[in-house]
Amino acid sequence: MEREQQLADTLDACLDHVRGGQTIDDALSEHAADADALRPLLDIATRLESLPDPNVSLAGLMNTLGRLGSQTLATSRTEPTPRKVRWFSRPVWTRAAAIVLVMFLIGWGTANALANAMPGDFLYPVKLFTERARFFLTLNTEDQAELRIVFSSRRLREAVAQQQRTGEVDPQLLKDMLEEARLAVLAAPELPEPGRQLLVSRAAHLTDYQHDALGRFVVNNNAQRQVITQYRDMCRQRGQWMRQMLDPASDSVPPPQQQPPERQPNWRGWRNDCPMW
Amino acid sequence: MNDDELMGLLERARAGEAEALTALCARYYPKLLKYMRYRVAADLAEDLTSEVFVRVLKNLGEQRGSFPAWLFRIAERVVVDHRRAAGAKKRTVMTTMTDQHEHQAEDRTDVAETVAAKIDLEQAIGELSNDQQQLVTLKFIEGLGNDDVSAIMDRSPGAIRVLQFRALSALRDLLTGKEVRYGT
Repeated sequence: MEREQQLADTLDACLDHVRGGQTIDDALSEHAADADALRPLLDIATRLESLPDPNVSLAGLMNTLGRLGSQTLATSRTEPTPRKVRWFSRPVWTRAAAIVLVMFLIGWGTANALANAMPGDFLYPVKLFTERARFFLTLNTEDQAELRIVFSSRRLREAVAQQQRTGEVDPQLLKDMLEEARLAVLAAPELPEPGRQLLVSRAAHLTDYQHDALGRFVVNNNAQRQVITQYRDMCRQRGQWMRQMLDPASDSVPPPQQQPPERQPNWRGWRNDCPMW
Repeated sequence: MNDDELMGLLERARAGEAEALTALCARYYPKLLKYMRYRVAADLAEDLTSEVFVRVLKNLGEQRGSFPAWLFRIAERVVVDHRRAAGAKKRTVMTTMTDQHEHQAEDRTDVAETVAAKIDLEQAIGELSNDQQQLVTLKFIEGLGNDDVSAIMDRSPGAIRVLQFRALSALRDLLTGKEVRYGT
């Protein structure tokens, strides 16, 4: 038993070293007497750690969300006081999961209808629901930021369509548009170059485009005009904030006959300067 | 997601906010599916993962301490309940994998290769005792540290190290065709 405990402790120490980046040989170098006994176990541990992840199907996730929706609905029926209902009200939530599941079963042909869904449409909550699910199924930070840029573009497109359809500007859509773009660009410090610069550059172009697009909104009353102006100003400020990071020397003029000092962008600090409401 | 964000999400989920529940589910679904994939037959993994979340929803108000540890304890209870209900002590070997290997084996004439094809690492995990399977899945497949595994399995760190040694030794014996001594 004592021998087993000693081997177990040595194995655990070696596993820690291997997890820390050492090779199996290096990890065993201090335990030469036990190397023959432990090497096959460390090999197996390494093989276990490289077993493949299962494929996560969106249909499986939707099925789970559907069950949760049904469960929540059943619970809420037995409660005397209704709880707060957000944009994902429970019936919608359950219905959304069911619809997405059906869409997966009948194929992606219906996906166009989903992509074109606008606020107020029956499918619009489903569209937001799939966006959210896709985002959480995306584990890579760069891909998540890319998705947020896509979502931000969609919110603008929806705001334009909504304004053309009803003549009204939906401030919530504009707010979501800016928030998605902000969250996308806040991921920049986590990324290696050149992905970092590319992301900020894309977000800056998107923000400029959104600034221009908002300028083309035709509105008939002052209140709406003020809303548009407010959001355009925010786009302009954020565009400047991003460009400043892409080219940090642009905001200062170096003294003549003197080489400008190399400025290392402070990405972490820059993140805190994001213009907010 | 940092601890503060997770706490905020849990708070909102406890208040019954569907959006927070969706976010929690989407966040932990891949991890739990992976756990289930190596604990039960592949065709049951999705169903049992769903079951975990239904139990999470029912018991979220009572959750204290580390949320991931609590989640994996529920997952293990789902596995145990499933096995009890199915009357099966050990994990059903993944049918698709077995079929695939059997088809491959039929095409080969070398008996040694056939045996090797049947006893692969995934199948060997299924031959371990329940505790050993749980440890191997949490530590090496989920990538958790000893402290987390210790909290989830409710065992001392020393006991976890011995269990780990026995599990890896059993896998070595299974893969090399030796007789396996089960011990927890």
